[in-house]
Amino acid sequence: MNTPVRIQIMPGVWLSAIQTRKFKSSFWSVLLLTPLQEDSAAMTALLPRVLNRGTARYPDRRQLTAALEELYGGTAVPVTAKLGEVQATGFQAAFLDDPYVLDGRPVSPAAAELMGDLLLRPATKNGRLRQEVILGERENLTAEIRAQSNDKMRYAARRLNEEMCRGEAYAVDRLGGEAQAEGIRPWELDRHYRRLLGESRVELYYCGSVDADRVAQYWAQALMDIPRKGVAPLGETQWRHRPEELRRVVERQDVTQEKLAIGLRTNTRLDSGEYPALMVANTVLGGAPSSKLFQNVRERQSLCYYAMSTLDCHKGLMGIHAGVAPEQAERAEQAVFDQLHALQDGNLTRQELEAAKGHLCNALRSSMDSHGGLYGFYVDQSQSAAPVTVEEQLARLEQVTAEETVRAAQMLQADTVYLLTGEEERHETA
Amino acid sequence: MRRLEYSQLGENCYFEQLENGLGIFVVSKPGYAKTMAMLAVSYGGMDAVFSQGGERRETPEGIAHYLEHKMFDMREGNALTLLSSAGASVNAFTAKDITAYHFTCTSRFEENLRVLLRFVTTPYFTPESVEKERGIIAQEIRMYRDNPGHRVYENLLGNLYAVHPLRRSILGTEASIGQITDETLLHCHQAFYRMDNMVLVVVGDTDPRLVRDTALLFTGREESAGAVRDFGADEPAEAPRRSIREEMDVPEPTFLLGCKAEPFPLGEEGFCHRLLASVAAELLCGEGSELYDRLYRDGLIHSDFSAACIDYPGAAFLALGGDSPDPDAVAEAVLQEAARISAQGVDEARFRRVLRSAYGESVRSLNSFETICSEMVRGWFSGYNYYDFPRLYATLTAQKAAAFLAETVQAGRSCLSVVVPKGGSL
Repeated sequence: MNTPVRIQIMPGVWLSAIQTRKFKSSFWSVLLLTPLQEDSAAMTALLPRVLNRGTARYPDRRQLTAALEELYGGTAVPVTAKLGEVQATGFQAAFLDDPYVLDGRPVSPAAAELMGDLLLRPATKNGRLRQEVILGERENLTAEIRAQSNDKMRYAARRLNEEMCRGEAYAVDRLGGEAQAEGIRPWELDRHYRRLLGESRVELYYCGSVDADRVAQYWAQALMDIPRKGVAPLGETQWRHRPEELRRVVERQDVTQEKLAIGLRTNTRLDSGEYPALMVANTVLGGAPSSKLFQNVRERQSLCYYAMSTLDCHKGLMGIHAGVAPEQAERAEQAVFDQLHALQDGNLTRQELEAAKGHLCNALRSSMDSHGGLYGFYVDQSQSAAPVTVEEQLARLEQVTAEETVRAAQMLQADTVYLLTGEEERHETA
Repeated sequence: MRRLEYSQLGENCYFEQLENGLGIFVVSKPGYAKTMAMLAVSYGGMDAVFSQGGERRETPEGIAHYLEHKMFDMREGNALTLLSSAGASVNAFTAKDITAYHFTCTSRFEENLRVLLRFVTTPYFTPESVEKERGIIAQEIRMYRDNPGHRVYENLLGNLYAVHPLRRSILGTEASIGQITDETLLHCHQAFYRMDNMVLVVVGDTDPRLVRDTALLFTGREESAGAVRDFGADEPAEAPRRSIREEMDVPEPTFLLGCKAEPFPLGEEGFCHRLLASVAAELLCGEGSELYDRLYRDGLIHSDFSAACIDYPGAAFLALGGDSPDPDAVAEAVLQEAARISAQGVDEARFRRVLRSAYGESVRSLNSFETICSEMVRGWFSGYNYYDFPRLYATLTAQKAAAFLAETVQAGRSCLSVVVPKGGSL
């Protein structure tokens, strides 16, 4: 069974380890968790990119690459994620799993050591992170933040969150803001690095052929010198919110396809008892080709090129996203709300329910077939007050009834409607 | 069915070739929830001209891709809709030399497999349905025309090769697809979609005999003579043009340097060439190379830079590129480095590391059902088995890699394709 064992390596440092021989590779991750905040988010995102440029033992990319090649072509990449109002930053790595080595020498101990080096023993100058590296990677990060605006679908989703959650920590982007990134000063990043090492919660993840206890030993060894001072509280993502009235935001850019993004509050998160029913409701509404949005708004009425709904399981949000032809936004918005209200009124056939549950269960079962799928599921669960396994989640989903699905839909409250339009003049309603 | 064991890799597969010629591979993946099936035809974008019954036949450019689109139409409805509502996720692609149809599912595999076999082997088009597709494909052509990565590659092929049909576009042009009729599509289906020109690969926790028994239900009808690939005259070793450039709306120039290699032979020898070429490319300009280090630090390449050896029947070439403020300088540096390697050879320690890394990556690629399917398909049509890579990697040497680079990476055999910002000068 692909169920993780959870082991505390030291105060504030936790390992989730899955032992399996299903894959040819082992998958490793180390993440530092910190509250998502506007003044630190960009630094938090920049940090692993700087660390990735070299360790004390392998001070440049060429030598690091040689070390990875020696480990049968291992790969290690910097990663930054947003889990509700928690920002997670660090490394993900994949290595050839031990059963497949050619000379009988396992890769795993060296893999853990290398990851420890990346996190704790970077190449430095005068005891600090190298200035020219920080400046170079700062430029790369700023360019990456700027480039996010090129994907208009993602841009609209981000802008919706910024507007809907204005004043909440969630409004801060995963990589931080462009202005903040541009303004990072080397000594600030260095200080931030020490602080994160000293007090942030650390989540380790492993999936491969080695048993959990031994992996825990490898990590304990690799992180032995981590300069811990205590564990700072992570804070809780604010997921309860009742919108008073529907907000509207319209933005104009040079786009040929308009983007409609509707944000709703679900007041439910992944550790709520109602969450499985909400997952089903989301899929019925817009989470699969069988969904109401896809079938009615896209296929039958041809109002959108795409129409779908997604959940944020940490923040308690639902987003409905549609790509609309110019002039169609008002009609599309009405059609979307019609479908939502239909579901809230109990308009749900057995076929729709079975198709939605089938889709969810298929996707969940398939997620166990890849490192990425397992990792994504269990990283989310690491933030849950009542974590479940994939198998438990499947069982809960299978039991969701039509009544529960409709009730979950009834708890949805529309908060903000965002429209990215190209038109010069638009009929705006207050 | 024969069972092939690859215990070193922790894999095994079942194989049988049916009497009608169809190859069947069933790769075991115990404990996996999903199953993937890929049915592929040895027919692609470079097969617009072929021989049949001793006669040379010319069909419009883009026809293999057009045919791929139309295959999803069945008398009883659309195969995509049918498979999706049974919970399967479906897709297809047309490459220069192969057309493949595949689905992945976690339930109802047998029923989905029947649909796959039926819709691919049963041509059903009407003049109306063919006409309807024309507009959709025209949109696709226009979409790719706006894509700088696609343009730089197409331009490279068109100017690196003088004769070989891989220089022709898979999608065709709006003009060429205008000539496609239901009759030409049917003709091509009959010529190429024959069991002895196809292979079925299944990956998952499934019963191999079930796969074989299901395939047996679809024998196909071989009424006319099969098609034979006919590329015309031999392709010269030299590139007809040394450089080509196009202006597009890009923030920075993007480039591909192509160097023609000797075409790979069929069979295991060809697979060995492929593995060697891939290792050689890494040695020349991979992330661990001195050349990469130098170019990256001088700002001439970025982290998007990559190199690969690409091969098709009758053609093979090294392609490397990415975004760069000065592609000519990069090309010059690459040619010089190849000349240096030709004179001084390849560092043994580095060769050993790169080989080790290549082996590791190939083993890890077996995590991916898509990779297994694609590689088994390609291996079947070229006469080798992908799972033999461990044995073949062990036969590679630094001298062979150096010799490959010396022969292939030469000015006369190369073409530099660049897409530059509009109005800018280089």
